[in-house]
Amino acid sequence: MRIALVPAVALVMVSSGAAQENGTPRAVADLIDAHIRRTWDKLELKPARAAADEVFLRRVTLDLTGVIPRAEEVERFARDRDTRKRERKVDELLASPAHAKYWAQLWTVTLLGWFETGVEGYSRTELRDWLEDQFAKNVSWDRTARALLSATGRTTVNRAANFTVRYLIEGPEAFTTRVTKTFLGVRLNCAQCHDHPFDVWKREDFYGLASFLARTQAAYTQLRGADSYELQDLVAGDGLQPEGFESPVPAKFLNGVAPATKLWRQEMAVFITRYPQFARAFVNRTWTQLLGRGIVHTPDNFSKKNKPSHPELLEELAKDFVAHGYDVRRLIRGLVTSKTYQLSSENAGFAPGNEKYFVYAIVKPMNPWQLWNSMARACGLEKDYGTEPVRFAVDREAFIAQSADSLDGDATDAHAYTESSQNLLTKFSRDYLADAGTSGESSLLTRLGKEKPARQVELTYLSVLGRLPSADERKVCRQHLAAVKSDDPWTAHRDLFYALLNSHEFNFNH
Amino acid sequence: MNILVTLCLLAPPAQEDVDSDLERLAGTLATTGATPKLAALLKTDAGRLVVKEKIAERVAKGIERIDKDPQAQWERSLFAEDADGLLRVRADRKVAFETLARDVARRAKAFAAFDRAGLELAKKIPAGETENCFKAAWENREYRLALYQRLGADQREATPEELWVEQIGRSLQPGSDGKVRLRGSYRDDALAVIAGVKAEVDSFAAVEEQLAAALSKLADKDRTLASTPEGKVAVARRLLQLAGEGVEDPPAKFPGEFAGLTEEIASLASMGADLRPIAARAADLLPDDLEDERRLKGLLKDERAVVCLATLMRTTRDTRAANAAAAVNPFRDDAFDVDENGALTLKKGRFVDENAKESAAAAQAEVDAALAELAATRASLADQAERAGDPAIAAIFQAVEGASAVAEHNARVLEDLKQAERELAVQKFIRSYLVKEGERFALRPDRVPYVEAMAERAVQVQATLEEAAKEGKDK
Repeated sequence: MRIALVPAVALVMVSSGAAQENGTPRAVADLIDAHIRRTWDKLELKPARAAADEVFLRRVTLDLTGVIPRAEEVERFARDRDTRKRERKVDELLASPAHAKYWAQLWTVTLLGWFETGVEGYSRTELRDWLEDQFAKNVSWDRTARALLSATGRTTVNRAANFTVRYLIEGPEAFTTRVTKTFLGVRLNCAQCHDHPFDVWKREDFYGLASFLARTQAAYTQLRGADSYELQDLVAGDGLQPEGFESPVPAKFLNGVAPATKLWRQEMAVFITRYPQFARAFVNRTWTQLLGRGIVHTPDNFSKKNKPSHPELLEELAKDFVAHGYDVRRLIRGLVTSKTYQLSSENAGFAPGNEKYFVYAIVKPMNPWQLWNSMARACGLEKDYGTEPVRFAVDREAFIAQSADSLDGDATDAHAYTESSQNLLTKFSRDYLADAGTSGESSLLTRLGKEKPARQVELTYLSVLGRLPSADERKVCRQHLAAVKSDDPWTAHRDLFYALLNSHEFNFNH
Repeated sequence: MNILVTLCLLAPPAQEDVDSDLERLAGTLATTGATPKLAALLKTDAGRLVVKEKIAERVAKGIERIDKDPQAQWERSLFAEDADGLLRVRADRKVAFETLARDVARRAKAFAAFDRAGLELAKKIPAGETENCFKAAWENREYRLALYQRLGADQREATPEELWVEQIGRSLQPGSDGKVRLRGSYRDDALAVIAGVKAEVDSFAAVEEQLAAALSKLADKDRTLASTPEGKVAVARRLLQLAGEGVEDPPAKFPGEFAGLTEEIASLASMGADLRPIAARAADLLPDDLEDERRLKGLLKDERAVVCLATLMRTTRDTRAANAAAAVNPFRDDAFDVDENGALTLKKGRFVDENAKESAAAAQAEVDAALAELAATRASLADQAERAGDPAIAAIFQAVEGASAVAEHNARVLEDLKQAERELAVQKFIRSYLVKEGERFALRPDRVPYVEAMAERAVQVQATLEEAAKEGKDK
C-alpha cells in the first residue's frame, strides 16, 4: 500500500485514482446511503424517486464545475447505456481544470468573505490561484489547511500567507474567529467579549487560542515598489492581554493544554488539523455544499444546542476522511455518487421538516459564478470566454461584484441566495443576446441557423435547461416562432432564449 | 545594486512551505548509520515542529545580529577593509557599487530644482514671529538640504530601474527554480501593461505597408533614423493618427511629417537605451511554460514592444519629474495655508506649546530637529568618506545632496539580509547538518547528539499534541 511504502508523502493524495486504491470506490457512497436509509426506515419516510439522467448531469456539473452542461453533453449522456456512466461522469468532472477553478472560488469566499479589504500588500487573487493549484493536485485537506494556517514569508512569494495576513492585520482575534469558524465549524466570536451565553466557551478559551498568534508578526513592507506583508513567527513573547485580564492570557488549546514549543502558531496549525472536529467540519461543509443542507446546519454552527441530524453518519464519514488521508476528491466522489445525492428534487407531498432527513434533493439557488458561467455557456460564448475579451471579463467582474454587494458584508456562504444576482443576469443576458447572432461560430443563434425549426427548439432547451422540451412546450414554442413577425429572423428565438434564461428552472440547481 | 535583485525584488530563492521542504528532505536522506534518525524526525508533525523551532531560533539570532550593527552590515555588503583599514569595493559587488554611485550623483543633481523652489518659497513667507523662523530656515541651504533628504520615492526623479520596477518589475517574483513569475498584488497591473503594449504592437500591423511607403519617401539620413525601432514606432503611430483624423493617404504626408518626429524619436531612443539591457535580463529569467510569462518574454524580445514599454516608462518619469518640481509643497502645506492667490498664512494650532498656545519655539524646535538630523548624516558620511580607500568611494559619501540614495540603499541591503536569514534558513540548516554522500545526504557525525536531543524533545511535543487533540468540554 502506498502509505506504508512512502510514509513521508502519505498525506498527499495525488489523484482520484489514488483514492480508489484505498477501499472500494463506492465505500463512502454506501456508507451514506445506509445511514440515511436507516433514518427513513425508523421514521417511516418514503424518499423521492431517483433523479433522471439529465437532472443528475446538470446538478453534478453545476456542483463540481460551477456551470451547466453543454447541449451535446446532455445528449451524449442520455445515449450512454453504461450502468456506471454517472460514476464515470463524476470522475471526469473531478479531474477537470474547471473543478479546481470553481472550488478554489468557493473556498476563497469561505476563507475571505465576499469583499475585498482594500488592504495593499494582500491579494485575494493570489490566494485563489494557490487554492486552484491545491485542488488541481488534490492535495490532502489537512495539508492545505496547515499551509494556510502556518504560512510564513512574504505574501508575494508564499501565496497561502494571504489568508493569515487578511485577518492578522485586523488582529489575532479576527484570525481566531475565522479559523475556528471555517476549520472547526464553531463560533467562538461571542466569547471574545463575554462567556458564550449558549455554549461552553469562555473568554479565557477564546483568548487562550488567540494567544497562539501573539508571536506572529505581519509586517507591511514596500520593497522596491512591491507592497507585501511578511509573516514571521517569533520564538519569544507573551500571550495577549485583553481588557479585563490582569495578566497576559497564556496560549492554550481548547482543552486547556499548553503548547510544547516556542513556535506557537505553527503548533496551533498542527493542533487544528489533528483535532477531530477539523475533519467533521470539512465533511459537513462539503456535504452542505453538495446537498444544500448540512448534517449540522449551518456548517459553522457546531454546538451543544445544535445537534447533527445524523451524528453517527457524520462521525463515520469524518473517520473515513481521516483514514484516507483527508482525500478531498474521494469525499466529494462519495457524496455525489450516493443515492441520497441523486434523489429527485420533486418534493410535492413531503412535509417541510423532512428536509433534514434528505428524503429529496434540496433545491439550491445558483451562486454568482454558476449564474454567469451558465449564462455564458447557454449563449454559446464559451469560446470567447476562453480568450477573455475585455468586455466579457469586465462584465463578469462587475456581475460578481454587484451580486456580492447585495450579500451580508461578512457572508462567506458561497451559495447565499440573492435576488439581485438574478436581476443582474437578466440585464447582462439581454445585452449578450442582442449580440448573440453575430458573436461568432460558437454562439447559439449561429448554431441554430444551421438547424430545422423543430431541432432549433430542442437545441435551445438543451442549451439553457439541459433537457428536451415536453410536448406542450414544443407546441407553445412552435406557435410563438410562427407568430412573431420581424425583419430580424432571430427575434422570436431571442424571446424564447430570454424567457428560458430567466426561468426559475435555469436559476436554481435542482 | 545587483541587477537580478532589481529585476526580481528578491535575492534568495522563494520559500513556500517549510513542512514540504522538510518532508522532501527526508526522502533524500541516507538509509544507513545515524541518518535515519533525522529522517524519522522529519516525517512526524512533532519532529518537524522541533526542527522548525531550531531553525526559527537561528533566524532570530541572525536578525538580532543584523539589528545590532546595521552600519557595519551594510558596509560589508559593498566593501572590504584593506590592510590599512580603508574601504575597498568588493570585487563581486562592483556593479552594485557603480549603480549606487550613479544614483547618488543623480539624486545630488536633482537637488538643484528643490533648492530653487525652496528659495522661492522663503520669499513668500510673510512676517511674524513664527513665520520669521521658517523664513530664516528656508533661506538656509542646510535646511533645504535637510528636507530634501526626507522626500519620498514618489516625489523625486526616478531611475530607469525604478521606472521598470514600477511598470513590470515589482510583479516579477522568483520561484525556487531561479525563474521569475508574475505574482503578487501588482500582477494585474503588470498584465494590464502587457496587454496595452501588445495591443499597440498589434495595431502597427494595419499600417505595415504604409510604413514602408512613408520610409521610402525619406532622405537617406532621415530613413536611417526612421528605420530604428524607435523611428518605426514613431512613424507608425503618426500614420495611425493621420488615418484616425480621416487623412486618406497618410504616407503621402511624408517626408513633411517626419521633421516633427525627430525629437520624439530621440527621446524614445534615450529611454529605450536604458530599458533594453533590463528587458533582456528579465526575458532570460522568464519561464516558457506559463502563458502570461511567455507573452511578456516575447514582448521583451520584440524591439517595437520595448519601445512601446519605454514610452510608458517615459510618461511615468515625466510625472515623477513634475512631482519633484512641486516637492517643496508638502513641507509648505505642513506649516502654511495657501489661498487662491498663493499667499501663505501660518496654520493655526500647528505649532503650539504644552499649554496649546501658539509657539514660535515649537516651530524652531522642528527646524532644529531637521538640521540636527542632517548634521548627524553629514558626520556619519564624513567618517565614511575619511575611511574610503579611493576617490570613487569617497565621492558617494561626500555628495551630501545624494545622501538619501545611500540611506535607501542601506535600508534595502538590511532588508535583503534579513530576508535571506529567513528564506535561506532551511538551506542553512541542511548545510550545517548534512553532507552529500553519493546521491543522498548523510548526517554529519558531529551532529548526531543534536539530532538525538531533538528526537527526545519531539517525543515530549508529540505527547502534548496528542493531549491537545483530545476533545474536552466541546464534545
